[in-house]
Amino acid sequence: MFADSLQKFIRAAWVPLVIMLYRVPSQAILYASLVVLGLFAILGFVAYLKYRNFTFYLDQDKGEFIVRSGVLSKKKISIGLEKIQQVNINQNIIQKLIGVYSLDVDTAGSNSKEVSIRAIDKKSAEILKAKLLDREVTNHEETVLQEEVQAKPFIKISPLSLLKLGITSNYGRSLGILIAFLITVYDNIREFLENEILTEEQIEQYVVRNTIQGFLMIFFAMFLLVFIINLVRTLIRYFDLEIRRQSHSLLISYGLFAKKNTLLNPRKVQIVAYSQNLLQRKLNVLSLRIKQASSEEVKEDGKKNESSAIEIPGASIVEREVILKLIYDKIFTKGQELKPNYRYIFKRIYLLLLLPVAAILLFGYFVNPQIQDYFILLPFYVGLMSLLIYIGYRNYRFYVNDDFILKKKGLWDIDYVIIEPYKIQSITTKQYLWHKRSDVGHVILHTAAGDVSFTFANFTQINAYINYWLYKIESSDKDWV
Amino acid sequence: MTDFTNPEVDLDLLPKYQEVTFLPIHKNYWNIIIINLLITIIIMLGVTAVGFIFMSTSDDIGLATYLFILAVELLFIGFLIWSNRLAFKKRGYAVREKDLLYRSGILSTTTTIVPFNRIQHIAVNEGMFSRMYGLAAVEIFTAGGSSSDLSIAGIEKEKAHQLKEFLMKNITRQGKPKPEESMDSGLISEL
Repeated sequence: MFADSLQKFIRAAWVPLVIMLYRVPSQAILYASLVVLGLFAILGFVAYLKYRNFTFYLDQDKGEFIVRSGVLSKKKISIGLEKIQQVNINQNIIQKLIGVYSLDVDTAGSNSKEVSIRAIDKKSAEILKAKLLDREVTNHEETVLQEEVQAKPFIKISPLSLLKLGITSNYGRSLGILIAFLITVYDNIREFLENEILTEEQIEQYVVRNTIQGFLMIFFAMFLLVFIINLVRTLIRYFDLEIRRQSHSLLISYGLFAKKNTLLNPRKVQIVAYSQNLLQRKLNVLSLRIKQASSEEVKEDGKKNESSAIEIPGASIVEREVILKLIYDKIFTKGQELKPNYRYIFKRIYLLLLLPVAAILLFGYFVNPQIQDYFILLPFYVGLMSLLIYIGYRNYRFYVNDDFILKKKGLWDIDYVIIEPYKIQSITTKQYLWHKRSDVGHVILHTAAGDVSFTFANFTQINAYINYWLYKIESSDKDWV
Repeated sequence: MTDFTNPEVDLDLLPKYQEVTFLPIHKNYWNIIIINLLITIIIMLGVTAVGFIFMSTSDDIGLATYLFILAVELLFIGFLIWSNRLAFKKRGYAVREKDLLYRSGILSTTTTIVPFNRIQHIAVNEGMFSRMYGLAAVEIFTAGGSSSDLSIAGIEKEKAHQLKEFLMKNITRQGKPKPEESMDSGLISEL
């Protein structure tokens, strides 16, 4: 087979050796330069071996690109041509000096470049690139924009919805920033007060009282400020968000000053996530995120786009249904509910209640008795935490049916994640020894846009679903990208 | 479209991944684990020895302390070997018609299942020590990120390449057009 296939080894990798010539004013320098020379020789030798062992070829019969490398440990990488997503030709300064290019082959998924050919002349690089991407071009022709069908936007997010969403979200982050800020301010004030030599107690008290008053004022003002900044930012960024249909894709445009246009191919969507809290439910708004395969987001210059998720804030429930229908081409339905085992609660009680309370009690009784004054706060902590753990458990659910998997979790902001079974890349299950008898296990579904996990599941039940998902993945010809 | 059928799927009749029998890792791979462990142990003991030599100049620390440290280290080495042996025994892989399974873990059993039609590319890695024993590792990459990639170490070299060939043949979906024969041979002779 090999004889038939076009197989010729292309040698690449240059050994740039720069030898410095020293004059010999003293023996020390002579030795030093000898050592340096020796090192260079070893480096050069290793580089030469690497160069000798680095070969690649294109097996046209099998449609594979094969790269062999390694001196002591040998590696052989095979990439099916139809799996290649991107081929980049780059040149850095050193390569510019020698007049060679590097060629990187990128497949979907992993962040790192799978194959990098460090030194190749431009002509070969371009021919190789063309050959590697040959099949790709014909496959993806349909995704290239044809005539622009500028249909009417079927979804428009009004500024009012944005306002509603802005008011009801982000305050967690705002509060966090604020608290961090205030702690620093407080520290500074205290330091300042301690450093000032105030002999008269009255003055000190006066100052303290004033600071506390001012403190509250600042707190309130800052909170308002951060809140408004966040609100305005959301409004400006997503102003006039519209979704249009454009041949096979969705065109999402938004922005007040900088208009952004994003083209979304429904087929490439891996995960749809949305989040909604109680207030937002009352106001009928939610924030939607659409995630694509991460490698699809590689821009032309080869740099990865920072956010591979497209955000649609301020959608209503009806609009969510419409968007989901467009992406999945069928109506999204919630499936059978799977509950986590009660051990889900146990773990959290142990980690968030027993452990910290025990630590504080021990610390208070044996190390620092002063802490005992704060013991009165412990029941409040226990009460609050119990409530949070319970809410967390109530919201931690998996919903499964033939076409969709939905995961729900959260305390205040409830996050939902939707995936289609055939978009799953691989499945990992995990079961601890001590969970075997109670039939409890964890499952992680790996997709090209991130993992979705469900812990403390009924293992028999989830395994039945895993077998079903595997059946779905392995029996369908549907492309996941 | 006339012969299209869509019968209901009985969940109980589907092949069960959890009932697969796993193939063990080649027994020679244990030697490689031992070699790697030995390197760690030698470095550890070397560092302690150097520490002892430096400390012995001061009389603050008695012989008992040395012996104690040494005993702790020996216990630790014993634990390392024992736990590695357990982990080695637990490892296994299985090849089904349409997917590949890998199982590992001491305290928890982790099973990863990679369907063939989701594999992106495959690498066969022959480490320095592995080559001495004629073993190789098969690495399987999917688009699901590093957490879902598989590395099956300790397979006989020949078997590893067979597995790779088998997988490469199977990851190309049937629906895809076969590579055209017309690709010019001029390309590579030009290079």
